[in-house]
Amino acid sequence: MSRIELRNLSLAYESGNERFLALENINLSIESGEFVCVIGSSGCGKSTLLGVLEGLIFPSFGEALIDGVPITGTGPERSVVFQHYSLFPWMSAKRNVAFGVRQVTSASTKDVNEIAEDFLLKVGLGGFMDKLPAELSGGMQQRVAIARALAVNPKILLMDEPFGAIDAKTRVQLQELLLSLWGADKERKTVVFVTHDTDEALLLSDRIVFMGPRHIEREITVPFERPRSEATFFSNPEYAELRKSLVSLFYRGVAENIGGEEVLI
Amino acid sequence: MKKYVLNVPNLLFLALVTLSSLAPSRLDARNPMSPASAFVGAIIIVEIFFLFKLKRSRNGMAVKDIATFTYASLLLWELLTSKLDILKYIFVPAPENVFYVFVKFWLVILSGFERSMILLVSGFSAALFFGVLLGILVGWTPRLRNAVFPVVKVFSTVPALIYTPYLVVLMPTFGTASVLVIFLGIFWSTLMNTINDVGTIDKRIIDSARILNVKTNVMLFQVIFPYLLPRIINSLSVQLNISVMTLNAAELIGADRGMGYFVKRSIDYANYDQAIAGIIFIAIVLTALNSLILIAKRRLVKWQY
Ligand SMILES: Nc1ncnc2c1ncn2[C@@H]1O[C@H](COP(=O)(O)OP(=O)(O)OP(=O)(O)O)[C@@H](O)[C@H]1O
Ligand SMILES: [Mg+2]
Repeated sequence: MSRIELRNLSLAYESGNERFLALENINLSIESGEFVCVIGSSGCGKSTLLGVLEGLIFPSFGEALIDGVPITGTGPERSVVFQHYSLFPWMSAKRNVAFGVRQVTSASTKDVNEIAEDFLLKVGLGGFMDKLPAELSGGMQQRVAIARALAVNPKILLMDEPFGAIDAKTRVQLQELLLSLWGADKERKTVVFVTHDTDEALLLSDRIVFMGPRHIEREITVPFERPRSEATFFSNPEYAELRKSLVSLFYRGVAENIGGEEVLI
Repeated sequence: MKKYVLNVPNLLFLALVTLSSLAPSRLDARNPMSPASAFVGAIIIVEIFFLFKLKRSRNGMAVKDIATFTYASLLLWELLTSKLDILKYIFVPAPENVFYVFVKFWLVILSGFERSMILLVSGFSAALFFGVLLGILVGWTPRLRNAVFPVVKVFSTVPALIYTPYLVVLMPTFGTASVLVIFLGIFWSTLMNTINDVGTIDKRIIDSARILNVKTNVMLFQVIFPYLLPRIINSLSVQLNISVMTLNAAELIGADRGMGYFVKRSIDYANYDQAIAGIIFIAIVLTALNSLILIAKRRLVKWQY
């Protein structure tokens, strides 16, 4: 739980003489304990935005603040789950999680291992602790990555399309797992979750930040009560209404993009 | 069972053993024939090795082909020298004599082996250790990398063989000279490759470590080093062959003991049976070392890129 604030943030990628503006004048506040989904079409700058929050890339103009302090790098109060599988391929599932924990505590090896085991159990991988990432399926690897991100008990959880490459069924399981782990905390973590999927965004978030190219197009509050489960959720007429407007917003953007390209051709 | 008994290599094996047990046609007072016992012993060792490999391989085609080729060559050698006496003995000694060298000179060969291995292992491991360590440190620091890499590249293009004679003269003892030669022979290329590998390491691995807030030493030795380990191990056998080459070259110049020296001295005195035995011995040692590397690889690297 921590407050995130972006003020007049612009970011340009520079390589040699080339300058590519990826974010332009972004203003966004995220409250402590809020679950925010960032949604938008491919290439609009979602990963760039998250990269700023991760502390891996830095704004060209404007500010990115956490609890009022500018972000100068990565930090132990933040955890990240990448879109790509980001486990260390030479470490077993347990060692991957333990490695993360060991960087932020001075606890004994025994305690660190216990924490790692505990979180792997939570994500349902009790029987796979000693397997290498290559011996796990994509969904399992992503569960290990989630366990690693949560095991350090961060205040802020940053997730970049974490379920992007996972089949629909596993995806639903992982969404529910994430919600239950997030909801179980007394002090809820602030979550910024990037996705392509409107249904996923509606199911998970308190608020949806809808991005167009380089900018935030609109912010939409998701009013539904928690806990939300898939079954009750998708039959709710209010949900259908919101989903319709979100989808039309999404595809209008896409249509405009395609239209733009046609003009170019 | 049939698989192990009825095959071409086994037939050749029998022919070879029988043939070498027959009396030689060559009767030369100045160059007496050695007993066939060592040669037969060697053939039996080859056969045991062949059967062992045959058992371990799935269809055994390649194993049989290699054994056939080996036996055919030995058979040809045996026929052309000791049986039909076609080749000049003085230049092409009979296999009986070559393998008997191992019986007669085992002590000399063994002490030469010990000496060469000590030099080889010290030069090789020092070069590997410092090459990888400095490579990781330099590769990780952009300013150092930009300054050092071009220089290292220049150094690594000069083959160590070219300045080996100079170093042998320069250093106080042959031992220090050859360790230095081996060191220089692979240090620069190890350093260059490591700097390069660190520079081109998968950015996602680095980012994953960064977001876990690792300290620099953890990043270097618990993330980058294990990530590079498969590549380092893959380069070992090439590096080993280069070191043996430079060591042997050094031994041609200044040694008083050693595997390469044994061959050189034998050639100097026209003892070609000893020279060939020495060459065979070097080949066996190199093969054994390469197998060790392969075993290490299987144990240490359980993942692929
Ligand atoms: N390192 C980089 N150097 C230069 N340009 C970049 C770099 N990374 C991203 N970009 C550009 O910035 C823009 C935004 O990229 P970003 O990765 O943030 O998009 P995204 O919204 O995450 O897309 P996706 O949904 O496909 O992941 C893209 O046009 C991309 O080409
Ligand atoms: Mg992205």
